[in-house]
Amino acid sequence: MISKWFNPYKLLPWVVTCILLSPVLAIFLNAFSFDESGSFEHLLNTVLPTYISNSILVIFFVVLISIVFALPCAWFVACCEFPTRQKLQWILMLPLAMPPYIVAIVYTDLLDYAGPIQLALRDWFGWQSINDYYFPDIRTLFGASFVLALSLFPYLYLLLRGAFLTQSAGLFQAARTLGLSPYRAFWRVSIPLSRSAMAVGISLIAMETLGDFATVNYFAVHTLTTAIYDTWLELGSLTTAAKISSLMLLALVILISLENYSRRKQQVYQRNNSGSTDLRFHLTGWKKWGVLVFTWSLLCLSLFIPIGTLLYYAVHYFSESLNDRFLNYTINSLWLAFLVAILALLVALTVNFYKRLSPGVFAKSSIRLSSLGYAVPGTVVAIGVLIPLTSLDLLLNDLLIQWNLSPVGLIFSGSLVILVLGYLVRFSAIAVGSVDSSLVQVSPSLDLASRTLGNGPAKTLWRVNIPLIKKGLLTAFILVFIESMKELPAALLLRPFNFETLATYVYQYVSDEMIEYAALPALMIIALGLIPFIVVNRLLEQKQ
Amino acid sequence: MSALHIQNLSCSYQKTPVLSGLDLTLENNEIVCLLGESGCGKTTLLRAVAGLQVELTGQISIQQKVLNNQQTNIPPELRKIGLIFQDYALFPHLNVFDNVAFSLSKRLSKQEKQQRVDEVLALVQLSAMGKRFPHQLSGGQQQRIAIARALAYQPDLMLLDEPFSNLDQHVRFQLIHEIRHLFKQRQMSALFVTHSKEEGFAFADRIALMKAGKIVQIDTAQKLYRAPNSAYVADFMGQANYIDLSIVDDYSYQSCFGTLYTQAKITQPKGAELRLLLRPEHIDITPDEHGEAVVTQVAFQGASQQITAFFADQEFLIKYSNHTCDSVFFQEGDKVTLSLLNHDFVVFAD
Repeated sequence: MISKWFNPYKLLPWVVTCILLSPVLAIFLNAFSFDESGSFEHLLNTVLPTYISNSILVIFFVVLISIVFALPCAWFVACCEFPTRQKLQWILMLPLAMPPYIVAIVYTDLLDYAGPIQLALRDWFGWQSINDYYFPDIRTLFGASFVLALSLFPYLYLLLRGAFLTQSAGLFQAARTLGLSPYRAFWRVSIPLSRSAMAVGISLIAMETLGDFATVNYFAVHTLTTAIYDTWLELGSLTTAAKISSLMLLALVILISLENYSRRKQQVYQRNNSGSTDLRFHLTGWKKWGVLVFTWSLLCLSLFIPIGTLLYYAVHYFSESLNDRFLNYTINSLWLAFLVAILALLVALTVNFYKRLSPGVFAKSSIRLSSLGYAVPGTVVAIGVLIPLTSLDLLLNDLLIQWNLSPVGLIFSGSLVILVLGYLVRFSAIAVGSVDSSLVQVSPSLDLASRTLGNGPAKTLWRVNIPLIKKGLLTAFILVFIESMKELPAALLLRPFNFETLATYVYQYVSDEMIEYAALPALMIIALGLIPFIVVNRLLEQKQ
Repeated sequence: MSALHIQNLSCSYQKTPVLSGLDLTLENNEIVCLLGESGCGKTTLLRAVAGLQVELTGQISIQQKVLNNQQTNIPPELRKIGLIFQDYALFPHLNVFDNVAFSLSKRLSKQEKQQRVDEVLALVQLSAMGKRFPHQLSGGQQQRIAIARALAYQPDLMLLDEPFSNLDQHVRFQLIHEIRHLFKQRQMSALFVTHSKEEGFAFADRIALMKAGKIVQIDTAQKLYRAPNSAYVADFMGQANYIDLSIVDDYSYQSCFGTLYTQAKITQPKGAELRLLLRPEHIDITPDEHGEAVVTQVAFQGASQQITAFFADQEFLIKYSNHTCDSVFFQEGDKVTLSLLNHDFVVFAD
């Protein structure tokens, strides 16, 4: 008989939620605590304002460039008809699988003074030295923004395409019959109607940009993320890092509320979605060629040129690259990602089944709270898990010494425990969301049927629910797996001494400007991102 | 000069013909209803007139201005047409005022705009709603705003695509009468698509019944009901019984109701297989213990009874009016006699 007051089914989800929430709480507690070293005040009086304005500028440029890339692409693919449209529809999503710092090193290499482009220009025009001509420098704030936009614009593209497709075709036609040319109807109807999708896309891109560490650091643009990284690794002040982190969390809260607000509005705008596809504009002549050139050159820049360059280096330096370290780190990454994905699934199942068994505000808020981590950048999460785990280590060792036992050292914060926890905090939300969305499609009466046929909650879960959401579970697993393979900043800050993942290994070469050795592992990361991406899309399509 | 003239219009979708050689003329200030089952091409015809259907052959002209033929295809924004949609197609991001003012030129001053909008909003009796957003209005109000928006554009011709089908029954007919009145007052020509004949009866001057991409018959509602040119039209417009006829001489037929005499000379050849259309109200039914007909089903409908009776090896549908105090209430199994009431014969040759 289960006690009415103590029910393990209800306790477990809250334990999980508390663990996942602890980093965010720790950061806020620390932000309001006294900083003995005074380094936060020092930073605030010196470099921090520049870092903040840099962060804002990078976000501004990335968003701007992303709009220039994504808006035309989304409109062409959704509302026009031209050769290769069907292919473009999904290829345009693929740049999401490109880690921006890898794109960054490719372009630095290509556009460098000694790189092929400048060499060719000098050859062609007969220039002798750098003084003979002007060539834009990519290692600037704008360059970093450009590179980030190249791999982030698909977020906006996807949302806008969705918005254009679900807008009632009748509205556009109504505007036409009321005397507007297609071009003016686009600006007066289609664009205003996709405002909320645009806002959602922009906030997603802004969040990703705010959290980016590797690209801006590589281009030596100092932002809030690099500041956190430096204060912890160089100044060793966790409190200062936490204070900067809380600044970022504040910015995130604003962005998330903007996103939520826009999503709610979007529902009002897209009530009647009688989207009709036979009304696409058939493009011919120069319009057709213009669209083809625009979309495919964008793909060249964001996808084909970077992959091509990496392939070139990977092939030429194959024997040097394929060494024991590469293989070891690949295996490290694989099993780490596997472990995190399995744990994230368990978290998702716990939280979601709590909601299913005892629906209510309590259960819903546990889902919400456990999903908070994903919006938080890896760097901030890292600081967030460092705070409670180092305290835990200190406490444990003090106790052991008091009891005259030998101290065990940093068994939490100095081991893989902290890395796995950091990843879980960050990626559980993906699994929770994915399981949630497939579980709501399972009719509750199936649970009731199973219960009345003599199966307890656990048996019902095992025999009815889990078989029905197999695809959702697989999707969740794959998504968490990809993200864990790619994650860099949290790995850099949390990895135990001498532990490398594929991402940190690539990044090490990237920061040493050794693209030839970074190429093979970088391609590995991209491939591991692309293949599951295609598989997941297949799965999602089958579902519909 | 006609408000709309369509000649030999054809159109196909994925190699299936949707419209095949259709002709239609709308007089000025006339409201014509395109009636037909779904898939008969009526919406396609409307879209073709609006310029939203691209691949067409044939010619469309409004006020003798050619919109569409082999050489030209005027885009929808230059056709001066008001199109009313089934789902109203109000712009959700604009309030009622901005929706209605959507088509007004930028050159108009603020006052002029205000005046035009106020005027049409008053016409649809929604003057106070300018600040509201579409989702804050009821379905009927949304449709009135859509009509106001089209009127503000001052179109030469109004096209309405199932405009009333998303509305409740009682709102629907009230709005139909209101808008018909409004169109007549503004001398607006309109082409109106629906699958409901009751809407067509209430809204249109003439009804064009469509079948498989063609207009089968176009006339007033009364004519279509009373003098259909085919069994298809007869069945579409209302319930129908048919009895077999054989020709006796130039002025009489033989049928299960005995010999039937006509005023007009019979033109069909002797020996032709003919069928006579009998509407339920054309048959009289009286209780008769020795009657040859038997009541098989009765549906009481308040003002009338719908009775099914078996007679001469076939079932007849009869409408019996309850308007007098000595009206009989029939029951299943009653023996009755059926006879024909005096009316113009409609005869089809198979």
